[in-house]
Amino acid sequence: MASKVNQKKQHRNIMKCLKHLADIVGHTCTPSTLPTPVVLLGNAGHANSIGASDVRELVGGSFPSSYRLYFPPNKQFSLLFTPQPVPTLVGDINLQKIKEVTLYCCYVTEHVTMETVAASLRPPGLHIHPDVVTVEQEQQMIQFFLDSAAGTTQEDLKHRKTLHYGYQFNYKTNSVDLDSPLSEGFPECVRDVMEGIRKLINIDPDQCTVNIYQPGQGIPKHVDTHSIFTQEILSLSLGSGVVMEFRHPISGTVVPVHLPARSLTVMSGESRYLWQHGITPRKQDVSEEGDVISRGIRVSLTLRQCTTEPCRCEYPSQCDSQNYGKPRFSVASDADAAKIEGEFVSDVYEEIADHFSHTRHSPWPGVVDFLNSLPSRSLVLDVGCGNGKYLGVREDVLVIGNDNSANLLSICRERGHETFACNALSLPVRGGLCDGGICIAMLHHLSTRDRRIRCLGNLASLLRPGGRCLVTVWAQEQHLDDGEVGRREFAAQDVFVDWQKKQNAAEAELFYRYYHVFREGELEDLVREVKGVEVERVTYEKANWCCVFRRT
Amino acid sequence: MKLLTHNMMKSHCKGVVNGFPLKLSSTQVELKEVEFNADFITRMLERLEWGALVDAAGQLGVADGLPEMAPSSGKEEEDEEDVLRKIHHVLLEVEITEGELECPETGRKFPIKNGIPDMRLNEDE
Repeated sequence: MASKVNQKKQHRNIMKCLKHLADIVGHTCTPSTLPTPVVLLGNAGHANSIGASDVRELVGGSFPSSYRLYFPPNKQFSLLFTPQPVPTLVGDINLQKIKEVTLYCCYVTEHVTMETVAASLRPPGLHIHPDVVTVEQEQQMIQFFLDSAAGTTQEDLKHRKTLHYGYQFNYKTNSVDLDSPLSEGFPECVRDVMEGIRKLINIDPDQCTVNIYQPGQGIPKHVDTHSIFTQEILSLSLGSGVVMEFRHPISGTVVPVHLPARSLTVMSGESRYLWQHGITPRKQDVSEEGDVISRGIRVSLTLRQCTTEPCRCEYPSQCDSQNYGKPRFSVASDADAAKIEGEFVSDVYEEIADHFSHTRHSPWPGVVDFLNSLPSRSLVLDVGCGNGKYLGVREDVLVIGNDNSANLLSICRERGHETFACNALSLPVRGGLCDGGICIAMLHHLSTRDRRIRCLGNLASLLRPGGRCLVTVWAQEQHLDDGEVGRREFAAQDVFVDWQKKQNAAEAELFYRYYHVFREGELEDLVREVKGVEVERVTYEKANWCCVFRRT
Repeated sequence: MKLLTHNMMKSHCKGVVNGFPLKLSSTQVELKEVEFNADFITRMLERLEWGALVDAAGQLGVADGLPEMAPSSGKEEEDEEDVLRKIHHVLLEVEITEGELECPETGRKFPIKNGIPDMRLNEDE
């Protein structure tokens, strides 16, 4: 009885793992009743907090060095590759426990190798060529660069030392100045390396950056600037291997890749133009085989070829030549403004309504306080009500919502609220009927000053004499109120902010929403352009400018 | 859409002089229970266009018991609460879930779907 239940559970688990494996290698994978050189270890993955040493201990005896373990990142299984099929292996470890977790094991029919699995997980265009320099060359070069760097000052012990040849790399602009080549050419040892790797590469490098990483140092994830460096980026690892992490900027998937000492890493295509790469600052890495390896001093040689041609890659979201895929803001007429607001506000909200609503569930205290300050039994209009999170805040106040997005209003309807659809620039409502109004995070979607004033005028018209309205908008300056050092700012006032709608685990669709972010004082200046109202107060809360005004 | 909302709304088509009230037609009406509060109804009385309310209620067959003239506040009447309850019912408890609003001047129709009137205009309107 119990074993039947186990069998079902085992079968389900194994089939699930094989499905994940199939996704990785690109072909179906099936369990084999006959022994094969590939063993699936279900529940013995990184995601189960199990490592190579745990598996080795379980297999026991003297774990042969010819057996190779592979842990696909973030998965609930691992793979054991043996040079020949081992008929007793699955029988020995199946249904055994590691750290309270039961393993479900089987042989895999298909001829899967560790190299194909590892390579399939890597970002496209990434190639690692092992042993491109000898141990002697490696030692010589390490010494040479350590000596060269010894003379330079270093501002921060946290950061790695760097040297540049050909052109100086500027970390503020992430670029080079092609008009100021460095007088020193490449050192002889670098020229020797380039001679040796000539057949492996497609570029003629003219810029070289040397990074000296002490154990514990790293480099934040980034994409090398598209416009200045063409095609491939080459990286030679000396002294110590390291695990470099590649991150897909849209799906967020992270793939760790081990770069062995003396190997040449070639980043081309997606791995150069789309995926970010970086090294986490830590002293140890976990290899693809699941072992913990300590880092030594690593000297990396990055070789690049500079160009003046703008980049025309297929990955505009990461491309400076293509403005990172963002639309350029230009409004010459009211018609232009309406177009921008249609494409980059209304249409986007219709597409993302459900997902957006999920992320907007907590009413802001500031808005709740305002609603609580209104008289009991008030009538209020929420202009740009979104998913209606403010419509039911007070049981003794009727808040009617309106929004330009039918999909968001459907959500309000499901929650029992009263709404109508319209654009805030034209409210089909008789004037002077409301005790209060709120316009939360909506005004900043209007793309001209004129239209923003018109909207404020419409809000004012809604109110009876003495009626009050709260308007909130995104601020250009972020973090003014939490004392954070190093304030962030939007680079410009008219910006497109991306929104990722995740279709499934692997893919996400990118949308851009238009915002006009407000400077200090700008919102109240606009309110002062409206007749018949006076500003009651202006506050800054959580990166938003908030203004309450009253109909006189 | 509640009749209170209908009473607040007017046409915003270009060039319209008096877009109130919007002509109402309904294919589906639902009744929804809403807690009665005399203060709220009293506060709303002076904001309503009474004639339009009576007409709209009449169209939906719920006008029985609605006074012809808006009750004036302050007047103590024996059945004042009954009247307020009736007004409450008409304003808040009758919902047009499917129907149409029409601009009285241009004839432009605005659909009511799933209880939500769609007042969005095209760029050229």
